[in-house]
Amino acid sequence: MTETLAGIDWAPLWLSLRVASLATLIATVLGIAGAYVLARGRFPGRRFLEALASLPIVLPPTVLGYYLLVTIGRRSPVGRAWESLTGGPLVFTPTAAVIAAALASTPFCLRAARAAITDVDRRYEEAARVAGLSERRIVFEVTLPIAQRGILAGIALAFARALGDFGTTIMVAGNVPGRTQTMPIAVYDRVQAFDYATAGVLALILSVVAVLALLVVARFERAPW
Amino acid sequence: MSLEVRVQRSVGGFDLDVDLRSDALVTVLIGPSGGGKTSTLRAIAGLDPSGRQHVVVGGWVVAGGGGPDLPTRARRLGMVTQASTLLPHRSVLRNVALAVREGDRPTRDAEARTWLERVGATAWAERRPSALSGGQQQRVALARALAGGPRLLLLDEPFSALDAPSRTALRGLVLRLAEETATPVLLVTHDPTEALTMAGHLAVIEDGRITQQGSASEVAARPRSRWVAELVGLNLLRGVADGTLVRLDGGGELRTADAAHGPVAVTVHPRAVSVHRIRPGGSPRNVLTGEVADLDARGDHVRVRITGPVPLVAEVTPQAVAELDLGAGGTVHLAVKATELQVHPDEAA
Repeated sequence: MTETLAGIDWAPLWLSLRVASLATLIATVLGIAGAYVLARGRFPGRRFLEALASLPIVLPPTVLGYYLLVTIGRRSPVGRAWESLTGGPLVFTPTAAVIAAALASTPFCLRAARAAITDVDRRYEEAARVAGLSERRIVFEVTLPIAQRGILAGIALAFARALGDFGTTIMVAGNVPGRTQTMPIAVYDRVQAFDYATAGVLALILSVVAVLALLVVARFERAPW
Repeated sequence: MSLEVRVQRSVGGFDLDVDLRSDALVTVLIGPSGGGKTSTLRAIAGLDPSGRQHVVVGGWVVAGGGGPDLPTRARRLGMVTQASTLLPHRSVLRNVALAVREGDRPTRDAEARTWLERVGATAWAERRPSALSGGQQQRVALARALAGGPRLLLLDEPFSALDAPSRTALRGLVLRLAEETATPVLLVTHDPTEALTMAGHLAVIEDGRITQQGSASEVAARPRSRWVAELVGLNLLRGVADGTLVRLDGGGELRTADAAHGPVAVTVHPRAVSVHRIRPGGSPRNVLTGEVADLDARGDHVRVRITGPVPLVAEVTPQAVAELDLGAGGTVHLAVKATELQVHPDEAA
């Protein structure tokens, strides 16, 4: 066991943590903003938008990855714009891995936040309005704090999803060791190389993180104040 | 101090058409649920902006003055509702500080502390609202409502979820603070005793319309409809209690079943007042004597107004009017059981 641990390449772990953290950050911002608009907004096409926002959950990850590849690939407008700005392609980079993980995980944060914000009793917001608070302050000092537990549970789920993404990431970021090879891809890679010991250690680490995320979710979903 | 409210709006088949005017410190809006009490309050607060509104508080036009209506946050109102709307994630102090409109954080916190002191909530400043009882939460809500320096305090059944002692204490507190800060109050309630004992001006709202308004004693003594009579057509007497004996302000005494001390308001339903030509004896009753002033026939019953040291209204059947020849006027004896008298600490005293 110690031999296996000593021989393991830890690069996928650090890469995964960096990619998942950045992706979760993006998922949090987009998820909360989208959730607020869907929960409190009244506009035509809201239902359609809501369904669209949840699509990444039910689509096969490789299909999601395929669409993303088409959108940010070297011949797409986004890919070309990126290339003219940075001098290199966007696909098959760590940045592409972050985008893939963010796309796959945002719906988890959004759905949880959407439910939590919908549950916030309007009377709190009305009371704050009567007390003289601006709409902006009401969002940040009333609505979101009251919904915080649901939102935090969503963020934990998003992190777990971002850390575990395989299909979407491999489609747009590939399997470049030390550059885009995240943990789940490394597990697959090790199994292909018949290195079951390393695959097992990596699988165990991912499993522990997943269980921790679920514990966090359960904690936030329990008793409120 | 004056309040002028005209609201016209129609939502889902319900028409609200309210015209309320009051110069009293405490205006009470009473009516059955679904009658439009809360809708009126929400319209004043600008929370339901549709329809036509004209709201003037102490000469300050909040809505309907020709220009655009002020948004809710600029109307300078305080509101306390039946269900607590204190923010669950903030301490009591931070909840009150939220409503203080001017100054930096330390200034606002200091201002909030003075309000907590005025409602007797200093000891709970650092607690979360969920750690407080219902009555304590309403005290804090009152502090928050007043901390913004409102020009009008809107109270939507703020006492109805409380136990009797907390309710009495909070009513007294509301009246005291309203007076000290010269803040007019508009109280919505469905409790007739609360309405009669607190109202400077009483307005009855039914089916979206104000059906009667005036001083509490006016409305109680001369209810304009059967419904108003049922709701607030109670005899209201004020006096000072010493145990189960109440010395009435206008002279005379009443025996009550419940003991109390100090200024009290006693209410009794006209149906519980029986009218006799010959003085009834025996049982532990209050017997009062007076003159028949007038009769007011209302279908299956007649309201008899009796003047004397203790003015009362009695409700009797048309048969009783005939048997006792009440139409001829003259002296009558009124009997009221001690158990029919409801004694309330008099917050207005």
